[in-house]
Amino acid sequence: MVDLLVYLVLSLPLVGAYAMLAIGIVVIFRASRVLNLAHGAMAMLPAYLLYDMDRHHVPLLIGVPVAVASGGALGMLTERVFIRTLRRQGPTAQTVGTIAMFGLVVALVAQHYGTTPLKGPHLFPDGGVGLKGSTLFYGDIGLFVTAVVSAAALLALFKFTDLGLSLRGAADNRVAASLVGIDPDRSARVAWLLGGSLAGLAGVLLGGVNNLSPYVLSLQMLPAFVAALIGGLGALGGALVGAAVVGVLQGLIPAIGLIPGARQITGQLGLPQLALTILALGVMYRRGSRFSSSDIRAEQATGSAEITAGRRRFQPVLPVARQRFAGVQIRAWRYLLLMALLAWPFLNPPFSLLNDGIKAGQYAIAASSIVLLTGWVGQISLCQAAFVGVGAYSSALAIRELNVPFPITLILAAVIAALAALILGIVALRVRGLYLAVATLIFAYMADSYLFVAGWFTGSGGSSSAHVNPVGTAGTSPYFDFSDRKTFYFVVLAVAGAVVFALLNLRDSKTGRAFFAIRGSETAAASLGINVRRYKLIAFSLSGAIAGLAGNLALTGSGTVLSSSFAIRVSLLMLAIAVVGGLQSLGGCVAASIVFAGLDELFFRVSALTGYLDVVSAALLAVVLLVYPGGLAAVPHSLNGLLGAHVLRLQAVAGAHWAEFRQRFGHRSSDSTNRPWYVRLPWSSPRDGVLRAGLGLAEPHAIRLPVQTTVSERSEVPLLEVPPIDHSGWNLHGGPIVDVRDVRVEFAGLVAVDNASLRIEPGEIVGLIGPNGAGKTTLFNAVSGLVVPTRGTVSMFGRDVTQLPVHERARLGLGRTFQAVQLFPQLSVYENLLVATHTNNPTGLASHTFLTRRGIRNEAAAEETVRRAIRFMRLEEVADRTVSALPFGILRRVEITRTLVTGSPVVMLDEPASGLDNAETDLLSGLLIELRDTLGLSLLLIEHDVRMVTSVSDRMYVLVHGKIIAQGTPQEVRDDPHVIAAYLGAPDDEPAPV
Amino acid sequence: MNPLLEVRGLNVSYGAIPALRDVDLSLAEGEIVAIVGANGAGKSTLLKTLAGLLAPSSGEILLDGSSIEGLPAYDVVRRGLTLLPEGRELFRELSVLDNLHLGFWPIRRPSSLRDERVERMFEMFPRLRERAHQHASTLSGGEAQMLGVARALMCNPRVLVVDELSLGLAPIVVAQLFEILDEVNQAGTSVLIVEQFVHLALEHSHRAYVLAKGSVVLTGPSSELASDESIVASYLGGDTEPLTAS
Repeated sequence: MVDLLVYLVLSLPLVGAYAMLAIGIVVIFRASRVLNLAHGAMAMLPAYLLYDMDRHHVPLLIGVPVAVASGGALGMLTERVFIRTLRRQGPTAQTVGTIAMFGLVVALVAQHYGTTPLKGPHLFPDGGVGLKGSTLFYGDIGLFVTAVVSAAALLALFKFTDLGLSLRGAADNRVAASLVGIDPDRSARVAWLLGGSLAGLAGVLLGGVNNLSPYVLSLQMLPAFVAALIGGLGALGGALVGAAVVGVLQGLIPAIGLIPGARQITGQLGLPQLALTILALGVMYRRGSRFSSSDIRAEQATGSAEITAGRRRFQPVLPVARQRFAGVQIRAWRYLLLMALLAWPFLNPPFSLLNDGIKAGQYAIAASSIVLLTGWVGQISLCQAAFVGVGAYSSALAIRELNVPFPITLILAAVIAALAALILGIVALRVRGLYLAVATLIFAYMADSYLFVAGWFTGSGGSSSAHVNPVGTAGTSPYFDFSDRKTFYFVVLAVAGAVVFALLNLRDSKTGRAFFAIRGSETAAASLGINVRRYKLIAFSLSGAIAGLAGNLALTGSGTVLSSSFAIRVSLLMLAIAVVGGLQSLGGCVAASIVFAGLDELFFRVSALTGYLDVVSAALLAVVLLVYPGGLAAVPHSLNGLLGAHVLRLQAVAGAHWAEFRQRFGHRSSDSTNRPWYVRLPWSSPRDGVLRAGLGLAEPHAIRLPVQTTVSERSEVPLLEVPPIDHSGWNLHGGPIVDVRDVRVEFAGLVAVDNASLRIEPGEIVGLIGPNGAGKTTLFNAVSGLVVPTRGTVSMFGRDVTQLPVHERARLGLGRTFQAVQLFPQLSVYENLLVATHTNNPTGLASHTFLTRRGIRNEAAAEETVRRAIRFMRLEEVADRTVSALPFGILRRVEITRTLVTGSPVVMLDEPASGLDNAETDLLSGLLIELRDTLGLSLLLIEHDVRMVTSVSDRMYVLVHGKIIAQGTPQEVRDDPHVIAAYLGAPDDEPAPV
Repeated sequence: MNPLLEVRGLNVSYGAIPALRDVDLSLAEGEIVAIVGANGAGKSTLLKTLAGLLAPSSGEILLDGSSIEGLPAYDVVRRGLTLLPEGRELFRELSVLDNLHLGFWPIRRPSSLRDERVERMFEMFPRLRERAHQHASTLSGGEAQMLGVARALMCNPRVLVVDELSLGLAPIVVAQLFEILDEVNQAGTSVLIVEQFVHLALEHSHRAYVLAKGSVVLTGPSSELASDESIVASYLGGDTEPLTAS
């Protein structure tokens, strides 16, 4: 018992250090809604600065304040360079920005001071208090006391001063803060200054207690992150409690040795990290929904910032990565490139160059797993190198223990790495964005310090390398001999080619579209019948499997691997490769891999540059993120724009002369006068042309928007042939197609919808109106499944669906649109509509990956549906345009078209006329009636424009304060005195004199 | 005499979507002016632009003769125009007292004046005194709106701009809050209100503007507008025909 107390006391310095770091993390998070992954750098840099100043005999009295201030300065720099610049791109991009800052600072320090541990200056006297055979050093006591004092000082600052009040206000509500005269940006800067300084203080103290090492010291931020997460990220007090939990947990690990028979366990390296990881993933899984809700609040905050930013609109430069069905039309230059890659080893290049080729291939495989996971599905992963490592070590294990030959180890590595990735995938179901980034970072930290040194996994008894006899030598199964680099080069090329081929197929399939949809908006994806959980798990396992392949190749290639090849810095390198390549583009990823392999070679060759790879890769990551987010993949596009502008100008001049010439000589052409001159440069995408041909459009048009047709005009157009409505699962017995009974929805004790009942008959338009805040959208969400009612039932097609999730209801045949249009902004109109074919496409993952005949056939059918829908809704002119560039009226139309493509017999429209002008609203009314009459759809409509609702609805409901106060035909509802009162706020509770 | 607040040719858009087109508006010293119109007419956009939360694409906003358009919100409030936004935007995790203290931020000193103002607010809204040390998030809808009004009044603004005072509140609370607005106005603050309950808005204002699809379609003394049938119609659907013509 006393022994246990000793361990507790010994863990106090850890508690203190984590507390200082965690408080800073919370202060910064509250101010900017970002988890500052550069926090460790803000602790580590000051420690090294103090070390340097001490070496140059700067007195500690000057050195310590300067060093601490440098942490604050680094905080403010991070805020200025990454947080403010990337605000429009949202917290995810900002988080990647902080990790770039982390990578840059740590790599620079590692480059300058080396990674061997240094002894930092002691701020407190040497020696200490003896405790039952252990010593509690004065440095440790000082660390703890300083932590307590500084935490108390900070709490007092926040609680009792004006500055603290303004900081709390700005953290609580940015908009409110600016409305009372506080500049929220200034408050954020102060918060970063405070957080950074506190981290600096912690770093300086830790440097005096432990040895200085760039990675070890900076990664002390990870336990602090866990502490902050345990505290809920909201309050400083919570962070302190979290720090106590994490610190004591870590400090008590050696106490396991007190249990009889468990002594040898404590000899295992990395147990604290393992415990920390389990704790972190557990906390995230259990309390994930809470974090995500604050995440969503953060998103909303940035959303409002986006509106505020009307002055400087963000133009996403990210390219549209999706292309049409690539399997069929690989362009010639790809074959040329492939041939070149196949041929050049026969030119007998120098050995090192061949090795660079192998390295580029391995980079490409590993980085493409990030393209899939982060680029396409939007899930940040900072532990891809750990998955690579899992692949390598598990291959080694299989070879050593089971004597498994090469191609089988490849598959085995993929499977085991996929399982490891699945663990994080499960966590990712609960947390998103920044939290996921932290979870992956902690996983990488654990893999680094526990898994890759654990005897049971590496079989190397605690050393940092795994070694297997190269396949083909004595003592192993002589299946393949890769000692010839040329052979191995082709193996890597084949695997990389297969991965790229499979990923390209996947990208252009139903699965790939589901990925992109999840990235764009999980809510919208689910409303189209996409099972978000399932596809996230698929993405994680696939990504892990691909990384595992790279790991197996690393082992197979050399027969030995070092755990340092899978460290966190390598994960950052891989992220850098993917981001530099453009993050969404496989071509860019391959190009970036070649560039980085080249850099590798260069830095190896030029002795002055040795070791600068990490610095350069972090710098490239930062620069691409800030300046050129499209990465290498956007280079052709930029060139195109650059040259295209010139060519266009020339053509315009020539065209003007030509027109004048023709006019002078009396030619009057009917079509060429209004046809703009159009250039196609050789490397521009063939996609639009093919698409246009498919749509029966001869020539690309200039922008001619908006598209407007009347109902009568459309009658000549062939009708949309949606898949026939399948009645087999219905059980209506003449009842309504949607039946909502006595539904009550409460949010935190607030009743949003109170015993509301409504029904929709087949082939009927039902309008739902009510004043602002009446609960219309909440009721709507209860029908579509976004909100689970506290009481009452929702049935559709004769089935009780009250407990079914959104995507299942969508599968049954419920389509919806959103008040704020929820299209996938980076996809074209055509691609947005293709996403909606999801539920009608029976093919699965394997079929997409290997591009089976059936997959192609279903794909073609899906495209045909979309083409018809486009023609039906007269969207031909905008079909190939990216959604983010289109006017609002068109977007509304696209969103309605999307529900048609799903073939849903019931469609719910949330304020479809808002943002439309009168003419557009009239068109919409006509369209809705036409949809009812020709397609037999049943529509539920929320709308503020009472005139519009009354003109199209068969029946209406009026919702006020969560209650249905009136229902009936439009005429009945309009004459109802309660309705008029509810809308006009009649004085003295009398019906308004109308 | 020049109006205290004057808006000329204001245009605001969200990306490509125009929200306000060529809006002209004025507010004289000591006046209460109401802005009414259907949902989506651009009322809230107008108020947010006045307060500096949105930047206009063109047009002028003059506060006491000097132009304030495009200034950040924290600057506008220091010049004497305070917005009580729709949904109140309280500091939810802060106490009622802290909220009030933050409302005094544009003036900041001396703290004796601050305490005096807090005392006045507590007299005006005794319920807030009872709840002084509770988090704002624990307040009921009516209390929260009282706090919103009190916070906005802490800095004694020259122009008080109120967006949807009645949103989600019981009629009796709404009536009480409107009485307070009248009092505040009599004490010298000019008030601009956006209100979804048209009759309420017209009853408590001197003049009114009717906004439809982002443009001012009608303006005049409130008493005249109140007896105009077309305003009611425009509110219910942008149509100029009387609603109940059957």
